[in-house]
Amino acid sequence: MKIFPLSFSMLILALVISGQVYASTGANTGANSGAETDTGENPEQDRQALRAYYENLFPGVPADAHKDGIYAIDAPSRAQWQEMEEFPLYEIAVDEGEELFYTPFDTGVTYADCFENEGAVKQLYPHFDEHTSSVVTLEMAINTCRATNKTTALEYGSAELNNLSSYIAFVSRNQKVQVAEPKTAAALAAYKAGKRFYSTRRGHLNFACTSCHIQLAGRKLRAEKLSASLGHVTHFPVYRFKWQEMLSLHQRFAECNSQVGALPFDLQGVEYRNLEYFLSYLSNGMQLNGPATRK
Amino acid sequence: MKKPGIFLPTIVALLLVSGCNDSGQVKDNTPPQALSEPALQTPATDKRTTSEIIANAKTLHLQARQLGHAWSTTQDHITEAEKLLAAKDMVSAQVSALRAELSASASIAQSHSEQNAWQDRFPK
Repeated sequence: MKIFPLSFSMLILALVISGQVYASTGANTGANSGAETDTGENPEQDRQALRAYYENLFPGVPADAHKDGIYAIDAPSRAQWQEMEEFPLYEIAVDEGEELFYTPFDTGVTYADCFENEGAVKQLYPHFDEHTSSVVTLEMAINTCRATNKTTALEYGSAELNNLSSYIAFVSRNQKVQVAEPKTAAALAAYKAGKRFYSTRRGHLNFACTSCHIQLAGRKLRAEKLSASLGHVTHFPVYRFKWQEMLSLHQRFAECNSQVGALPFDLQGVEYRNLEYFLSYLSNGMQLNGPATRK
Repeated sequence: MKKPGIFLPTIVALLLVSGCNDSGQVKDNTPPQALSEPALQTPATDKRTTSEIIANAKTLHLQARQLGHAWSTTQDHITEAEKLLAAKDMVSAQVSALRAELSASASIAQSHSEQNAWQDRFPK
């Protein structure tokens, strides 16, 4: 009689330590109980879990509706945004981008020769390049096109580069994000690095991207409602009222980092490219609707 | 004599089970809170020169950068300390230098505490 309870309690303790009880109750695995193997190594499971999370958090809002960002869940802001779309402020950037797109380099070649389908290629970026073992973004591809034609690279975040990517985003509208599922070890590592970046708290305010866009999504931070992570990549570049100019996705990443008191990383550096890769995979199948306007 | 041997593992097991049996999809739901700066050592008790404190703050800040966790506030405090030192406002310069040092130390501590914590913040 005395031995049984001891053995039983020891068994429970052993099961808890080995993680068996967590698994049987369907709860999450602990941070230090072997989660390393299931974080970032099953991207499709992550994508489905995130969609289910938002469908549960915002009943009646289909997951794909988050392509409109905050306007999917904030009716008054949506009405204002739809009015803005009648005379969108990104139009100038699109026009200037189109002109640049068809202006030949000294070699006589234009961007249209580098990017097939008249530039409607945004859905193919970012992608993981196995040869360089790194994530390739649209902005990098634009500069690769320039380098191939013996033209100096554009500065990341520059107006010229943002205008070109705005034009490419515009002609790519209605295409669906189609990032190939990371399967190789290197691609999975890049995806996992992006996921880790997204979930890591930074800055003296101690915020992770997930703090605002998963944990507090739909709630207010000061006067602004917080959007869902899904669809964050579909509408960039954006004309940002606060900046009075076009803004790339990586500039927005840097702004978010600064806002929480963290030193931002280099635009198109490995950290932000991995982050873009991770976020883009999560938005797979969602319609591209950039460029856009945001507050 | 035998009772503690029976109950201790049971209590530990129950505590562990109850702590992990939530039904939420995101395990870490702790609201984001700004990290508070630890109380400054008063300048009078710090025997180092302001320049030495600034140099140490810069070393720690560089370390935080290499860990990917540098804070912009650290840089601001360093810049301010250097400016005040140049203006010969010694007391304020030392306070800013100490703040820079503490801020850099806290950013490094954050990188350590986030090593595993990030894994509980994504829906599963």
